[in-house]
Amino acid sequence: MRLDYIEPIIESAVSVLAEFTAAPVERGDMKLHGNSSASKEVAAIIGMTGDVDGRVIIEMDEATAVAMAGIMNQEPFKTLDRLALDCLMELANVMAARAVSSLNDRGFLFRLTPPLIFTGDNLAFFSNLNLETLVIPLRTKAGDFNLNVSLRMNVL
Amino acid sequence: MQEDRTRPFKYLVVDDSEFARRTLIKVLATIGGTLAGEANSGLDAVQKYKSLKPDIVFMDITMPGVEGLDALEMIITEDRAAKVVMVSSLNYRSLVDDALKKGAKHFITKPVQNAPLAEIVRSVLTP
Repeated sequence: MRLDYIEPIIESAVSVLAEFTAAPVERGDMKLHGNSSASKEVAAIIGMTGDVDGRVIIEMDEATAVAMAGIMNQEPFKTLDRLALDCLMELANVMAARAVSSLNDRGFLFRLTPPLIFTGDNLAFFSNLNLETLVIPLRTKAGDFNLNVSLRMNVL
Repeated sequence: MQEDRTRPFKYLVVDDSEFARRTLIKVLATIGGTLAGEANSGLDAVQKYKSLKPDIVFMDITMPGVEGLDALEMIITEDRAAKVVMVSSLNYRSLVDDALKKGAKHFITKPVQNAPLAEIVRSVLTP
């Protein structure tokens, strides 16, 4: 993975979370994990293709998910219902799209897939692309998120 | 929310995200729009355009199945005078150029703000 495309993805996640929560976001130390990664209770996934293969995941526990969805909706949710999950998919979509737009304007060619969201205990993600995962903790007013980036450049 | 009224207009909102549609509808209500209908895919958008004949279509880009740019082309083929505004979180230059070449009247980036949207609606509706 290369910093020239990883860093805009991280910056985009930070700026979008800061914008939606109207509060500063604290970025923690990055860690590199192996091919599979364990997840918190709620994970929004965006696939990336084009110059890269892989995925970006924004994950959080259920309390953070409910709080964040409530902030975006400008009205609190009691549970993680369908609309709350939709809010979180849109959050992931805006984060990834902002990063991709910045990268494509710099000459890269990145494409996004529509987001998916998974909920449950003991989620783990595994891919046959043999990708490492960079995990970046992000602390916000709504709670703690992990931004997981698993990408590799396509070699033509 | 401060209102920024323009002349009344009927609109169709197209986005696979219900949250995104509701957010845009809230903003459009403050600037004089009447919701003609909602669509959650490109194909649904084309079908609803034909039946509802809205004054403006607000179209997302990244959707499952038929994407926004393809739906835009299909609507323009159906009605060359159609007024379609692309609404997307993606806004890189080649995408915006592509949308405008395919017949979009304007392009606005999410999250959408009242004042810029009001100005865009006025410019698109003005003959």
